[in-house]
Amino acid sequence: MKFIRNLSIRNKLIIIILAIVLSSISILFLTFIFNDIQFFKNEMVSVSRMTAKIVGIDCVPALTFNDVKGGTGILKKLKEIPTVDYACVYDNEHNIFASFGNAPDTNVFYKFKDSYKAKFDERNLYVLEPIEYNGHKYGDIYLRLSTRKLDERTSNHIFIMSLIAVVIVLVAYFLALWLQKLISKPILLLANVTENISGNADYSQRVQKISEDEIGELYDSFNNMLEQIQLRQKERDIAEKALYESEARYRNYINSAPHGVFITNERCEYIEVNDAACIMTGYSKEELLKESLKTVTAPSDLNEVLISFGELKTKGNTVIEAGFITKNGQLRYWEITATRLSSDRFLGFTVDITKRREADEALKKSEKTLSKAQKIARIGSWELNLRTNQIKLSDEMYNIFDFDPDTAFTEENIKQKIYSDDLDYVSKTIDKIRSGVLIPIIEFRIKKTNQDIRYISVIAESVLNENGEMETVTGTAQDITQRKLSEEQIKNQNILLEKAVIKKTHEMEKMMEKLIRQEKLATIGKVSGSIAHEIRNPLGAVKQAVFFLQGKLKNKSEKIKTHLNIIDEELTITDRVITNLLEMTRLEEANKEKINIAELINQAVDRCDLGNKITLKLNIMKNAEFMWADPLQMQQVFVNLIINSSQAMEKKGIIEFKTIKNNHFVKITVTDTGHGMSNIAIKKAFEPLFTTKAKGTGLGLSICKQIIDNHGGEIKISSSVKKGTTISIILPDGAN
Amino acid sequence: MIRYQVKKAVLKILFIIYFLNSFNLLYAQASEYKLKAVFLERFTRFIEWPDNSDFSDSTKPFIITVIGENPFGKTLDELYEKTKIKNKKVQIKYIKDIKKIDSCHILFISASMSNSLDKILDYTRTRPILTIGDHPDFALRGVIINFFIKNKKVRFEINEKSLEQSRLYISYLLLNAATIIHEEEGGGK
Repeated sequence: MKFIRNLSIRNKLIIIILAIVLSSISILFLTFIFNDIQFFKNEMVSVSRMTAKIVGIDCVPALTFNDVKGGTGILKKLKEIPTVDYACVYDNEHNIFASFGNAPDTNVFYKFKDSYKAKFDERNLYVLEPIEYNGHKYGDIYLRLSTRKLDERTSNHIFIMSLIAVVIVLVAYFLALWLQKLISKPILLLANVTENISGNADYSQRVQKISEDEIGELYDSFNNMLEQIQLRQKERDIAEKALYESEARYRNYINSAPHGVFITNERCEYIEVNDAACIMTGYSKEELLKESLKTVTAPSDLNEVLISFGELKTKGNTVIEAGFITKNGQLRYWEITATRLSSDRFLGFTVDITKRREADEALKKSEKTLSKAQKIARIGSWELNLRTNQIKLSDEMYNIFDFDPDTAFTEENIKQKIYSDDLDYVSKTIDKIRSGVLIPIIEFRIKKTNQDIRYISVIAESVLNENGEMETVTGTAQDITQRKLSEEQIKNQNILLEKAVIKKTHEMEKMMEKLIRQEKLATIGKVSGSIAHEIRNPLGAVKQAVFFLQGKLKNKSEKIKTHLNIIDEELTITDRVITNLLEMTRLEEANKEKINIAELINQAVDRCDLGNKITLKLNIMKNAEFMWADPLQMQQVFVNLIINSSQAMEKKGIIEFKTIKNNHFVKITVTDTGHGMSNIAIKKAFEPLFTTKAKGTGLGLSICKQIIDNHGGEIKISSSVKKGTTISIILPDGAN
Repeated sequence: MIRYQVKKAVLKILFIIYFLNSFNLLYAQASEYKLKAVFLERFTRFIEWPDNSDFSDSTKPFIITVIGENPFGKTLDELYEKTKIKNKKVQIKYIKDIKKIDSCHILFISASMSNSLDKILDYTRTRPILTIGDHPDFALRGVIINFFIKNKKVRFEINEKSLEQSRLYISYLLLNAATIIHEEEGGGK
């Protein structure tokens, strides 16, 4: 391969073409010869098998009628086929029946192993075929044929093909020799031109294009490249000239610059200085070039200057203000702005800032004094330029707003500190100030980093410019948390006080109510005590008289009967009123015992004589079957409630008792489907002597309340007009 | 006395020799007819009978009729008891009377029928019956296949004209193996 690589293009092309032709022909010819041999062999096999079959069939009668002579005669005909060396007919027992030719083969059937497939060896073809006729097998026929002819034929073919191959290769060689010029000639031409150009550095030469193929394109690109090189060369010459001029100009500028300009190496030694630098330091140019930046720096600032120089080396630029000593020993302050030109060249611009520095010092001093004063008064001062949005602050402002000194005092940062509830108010106020409306005082809360809430009061004042417009706003800020907290405390105490007064008033009203009721009851008690005795006895007499008259006047007119009944009923009512009055005033201490609620309700119902119009429902929860109460008093309560309910239902209706146990209480509710009560009636229902019924005493519910109060329980009414009333009794569960 | 005894002994020996000889002859004859019996079937392998004589019906037997004296003895019966011809069972008939020929496939004409051969052939000539003779001049006289002995071997000859008349088809292979008789050469019909 290396040998071919070093050959000329011409020879490479010829070799490539010849290699392709040779390999193609070889493959083609090899395929042909191989095919030929296969074809000849197949042909020989099929002809031989056919011959064997035909001869075999001819032998059928000889085999049938055991005619050995006839069979031999038939085989002898094979001498007409020169390739047949030996032929043999076997009977079905594999015994030789007839044969022909020399050198008989033995073990034929062993060789073929009972398969009838033709076999080749180096010299011969062996064929064994069965002799069959009309479905009968009569024996086998075996042929041995020489392959001599086959070999001769194959050699002949190879010889002819080799001759053809030689002719083709020769033709291909001459064609290649002629055609390679198409490629090699233009490349050689290009090579010649390139050699010329590199020898003379003359880029004005061009190659003549002769074709439109890839080589033509190569010529174009080459010419193009030459053009580009020529152009670049021209541009470079111009640039070099410009650079030279600019350098001269630059030198001139530097030298005539009003500020000190210098160049140092990486050890800070001066390499180049301008006139201004010499004036600033007091040295002549020659003297200064022997010095370094280190030697002229004031010893107190040397460290800072060296750090800054280090920064210059790494970052590429730096600015520093420091003290420097002039030749005559004077201390001057310079601001040096430096930039890195290369790894060992640094350019510096120096400005004398001694005067500004002194003024700054004085200002700092006065600010310090102010800051001290503010710290003592806990007041911060600020100034906001509305046009530039710049803000100036005193140190105390940082303390008030809980900023550490590194944090920028921007509006955004302030807003982050402001307590979320006040943020909206502050933002709006700031917007107003911006739009020119001055809000003289605002107060808001901030949240310190330690989550403390502080109250801040900010006072603002506008400063007008010469056009009378508001340009800056100045003011103070003060932490007023202490004051605010005191105010808040006073406010809270006031509220507590107010609540206490209301509570007390309410309690007093309740007391008054109770007192009035007790007063009422006491009066009723006193009156009823004396009246009861005086009225009851005569009433008894009257009742007996009525009973007697009812018996006697049984058969008299209906009118008398009716009147007697009225008297009797009125007497009963009067008696009940008296009984009620007595019961209420003589209410004794409750004797609590465990009572079956359902039983007690049934007893009360028995006492009431409800008739058919009322349906009673009992809904007793399993855990609320018993209660601790005075049975007599509770029976009275149930009687009163049942009577009230039955009287509220003019037509048919339902009274439902329900019991529920809840923690330490038993709740009993009595619900009816009567006409209900108005809100006013509900409010006054428990007052003694209040009634809405024509024949009521106004004592029933009042007695109930008295009894339930005695038991330490509660009684409530809920009702809606025309739908019904529910009375709820809540009693403590247990003996106490 | 001794003479008589010698005479008797000689006679005895002669008798034995004769007996042995005749036995030998009988034996030779038996193997010859056994071969001929086998050949009957072998011939059928190369011969096709026309289809109109119910030949394709395999239930109908293949009939071999022996006319005249039976030279086979029991050989034919024994041989064709199990062997089939053309996939048909073989029926052997022995007749003496021409009228009893009836329909058959092979008619073996014994040498004893030499006198009445013409009559037999008159009957068979137009029928698909393979006539096989066993007499030296039977082929010339019109029998289709005739056995003869040459070099102590059983051979056969075929009368081409009779064959053509019979409507039977014979394979060329059989013709190749046989001696062909043309009637012009012989003195037969």
